[in-house]
Amino acid sequence: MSKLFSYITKIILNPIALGILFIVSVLGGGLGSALGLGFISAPFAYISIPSETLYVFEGSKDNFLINFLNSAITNTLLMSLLTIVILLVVSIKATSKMKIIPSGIQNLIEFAIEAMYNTCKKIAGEEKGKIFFPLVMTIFLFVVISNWIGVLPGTGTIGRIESAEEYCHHQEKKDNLGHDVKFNIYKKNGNLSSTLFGFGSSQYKINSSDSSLFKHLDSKDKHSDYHGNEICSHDWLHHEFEDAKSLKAKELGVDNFDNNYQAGILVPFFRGSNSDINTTLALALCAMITIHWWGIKYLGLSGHFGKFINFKNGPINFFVGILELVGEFAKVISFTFRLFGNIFAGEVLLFAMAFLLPLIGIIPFIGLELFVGLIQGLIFSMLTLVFAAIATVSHNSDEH
Amino acid sequence: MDGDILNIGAGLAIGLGAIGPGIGIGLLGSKAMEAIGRNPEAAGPIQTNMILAIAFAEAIAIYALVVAILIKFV
Repeated sequence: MSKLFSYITKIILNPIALGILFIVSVLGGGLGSALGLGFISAPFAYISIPSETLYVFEGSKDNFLINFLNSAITNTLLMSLLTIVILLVVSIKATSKMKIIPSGIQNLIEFAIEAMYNTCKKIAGEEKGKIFFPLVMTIFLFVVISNWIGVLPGTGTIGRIESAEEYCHHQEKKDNLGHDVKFNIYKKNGNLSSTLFGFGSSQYKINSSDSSLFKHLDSKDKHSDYHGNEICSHDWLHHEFEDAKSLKAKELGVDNFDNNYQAGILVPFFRGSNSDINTTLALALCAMITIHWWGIKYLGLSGHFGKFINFKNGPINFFVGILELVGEFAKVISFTFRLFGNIFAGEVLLFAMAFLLPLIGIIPFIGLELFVGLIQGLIFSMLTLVFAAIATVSHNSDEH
Repeated sequence: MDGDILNIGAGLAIGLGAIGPGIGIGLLGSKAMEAIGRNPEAAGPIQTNMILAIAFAEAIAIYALVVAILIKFV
């Protein structure tokens, strides 16, 4: 009897629970807020292509080291460091008590390394594969781990509210003001839950999706009229914000927003490091410079660059060489933008799904993003390997 | 008005630019499936080569993405 009961609960109650969850997520999310419901919906997250600044070093102009570090710590940089720490801890743990018959974490790492090692030897040959392997495996591990921890719930959603004044101050320091920014209205000095992206805005008295203030602040254009060189003045920003606030309040039929509200954007503490173009560009440059170094090492200086600037075999081969030279730069660009585009688009997709179907809509896409992260790591490392294998083979040996 | 046209241009750039690579990736996938069906033992190398070829086809969509980003932000 109890068995039958448990069957009934499994067959009937689970779909009912899922259905209730689905209905709540449809009605409570971004779709429902169009119908005046939307009780758990949040304003659509501000999507920023450059990574958000977490901390700016003061007095950065004097110190060379801090200048070198771009005078700011961004959330993607933090994520890269976290990736490195994870890889260090895992590899130390895997190699601390090595056994002849591996088990547990050692087994996993050995499997991954062996598979990649065999691929390297298969594609580049026994001897060169050994030399290419460290770079290829490093790129693979870094890209995959940073992609995977960038998908974890909490990245891109938990953060602090940076007020509009603070944002402009940071951008001013980086000489990076003049693009459009959409600020949302957040409650000032709220508790921790109001800084969480999903549920925070439901604490407002007015409907959350209405409380978001999508205000264009095209600071440079408007501002050069009044102040000449000075790009952003905080008074002006404050004035703009007050105007916009009263306008929005009038639109909603509320008396006014009190001083408990501030304009700002959410600055997430963590953001997938490959959604920053600087990270992927750095990876691409590392890979391509090392590939050319290998090319010089195996073919000699004239042998390697002779592929690109080739006067010997007539005009057609000269133009082919020039095309290949252009192709080398295109490789850097496609490396950079392939990884960046895939990871950034995945992040935007997760934002959109979290906005449309808050509780359950995101789950299948997290699975998709985990898969994409693995495939992108594989593509990056495999292309590095193949390009390296091509670069270390001279053209003459092809034509046999 | 200016911004609207820029937005449309960026959308068209990536939208039209993704058509060709989409067809190309579809062809690659279908041929790879066919090859695996004919010779299941060669599934491993076929998959590796297919992923590499898809990456090259995707690169063209990436150029469209670059153009779209340039239109939108520069």
